[in-house]
Amino acid sequence: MSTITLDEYKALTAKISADSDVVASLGKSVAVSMSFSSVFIRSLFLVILSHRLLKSMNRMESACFTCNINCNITFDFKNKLEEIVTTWDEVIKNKEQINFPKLILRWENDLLEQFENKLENYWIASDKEIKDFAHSISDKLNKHALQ
Amino acid sequence: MPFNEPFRATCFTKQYDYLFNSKFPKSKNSVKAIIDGIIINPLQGDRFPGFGQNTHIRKLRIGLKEYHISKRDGLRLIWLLNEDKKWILMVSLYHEREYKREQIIQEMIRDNLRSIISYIETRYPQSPTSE
Repeated sequence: MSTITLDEYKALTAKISADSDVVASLGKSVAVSMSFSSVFIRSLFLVILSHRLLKSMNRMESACFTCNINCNITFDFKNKLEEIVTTWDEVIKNKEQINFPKLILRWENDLLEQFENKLENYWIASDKEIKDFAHSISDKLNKHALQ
Repeated sequence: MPFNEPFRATCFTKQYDYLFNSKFPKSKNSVKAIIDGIIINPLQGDRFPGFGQNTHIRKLRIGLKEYHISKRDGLRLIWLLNEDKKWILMVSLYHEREYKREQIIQEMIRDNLRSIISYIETRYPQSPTSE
């Protein structure tokens, strides 16, 4: 069974949050270490990954604060983490080979996509003229009900 | 009560024809099915905030599997609807990657809305409540 001290763990998380490339190399080493203790490695990997995802999300969300629009779309961190856990468990259960760096990239791309989508929505929702035109059309159509 | 058949403005039809007559003809049927699905469930997609309680502007991202184009890089369908009055109005259909900047998309949507307003004003010159 592989072991890691608290200090080593802290050093590792600090290193990972500082350099994204380390996550990719961690993925490779996790794949190698899985035979030692999948449960331990799973927990460690998830803690590290969730830390990284949270950091990315915080960065994206703070960019959104500047828009001043009460937007109902949120970054779904909980769902993303659940998806990661499910994927992990499936992989262990089916004894599949997994490319962790690729998987991490995919998860990060999903987050980026949510962010891009939110930005697209912001561009339209923040346009006063679009808003005025939409209201005007709505008023006119409500009166005539498209007859 | 179901929603009425969506109203398609000329500007929307032009965009539709351009996309499926010349750019993505193989995806015409699949996208048509998605647009038809809006009548059944007009509350799908993202709702833009700040447009009042009953009036919605919504956006759906559409992938084109026939061309291996993901939702992210695919089409955007924008429609306006009123939940009370049960009307749906197709505002715009465009290929996101064709526009270099978001400002150009804003401008295009503004132009479409403007032409919809003039169409309604031409068709209903005397508004019942106008003075």
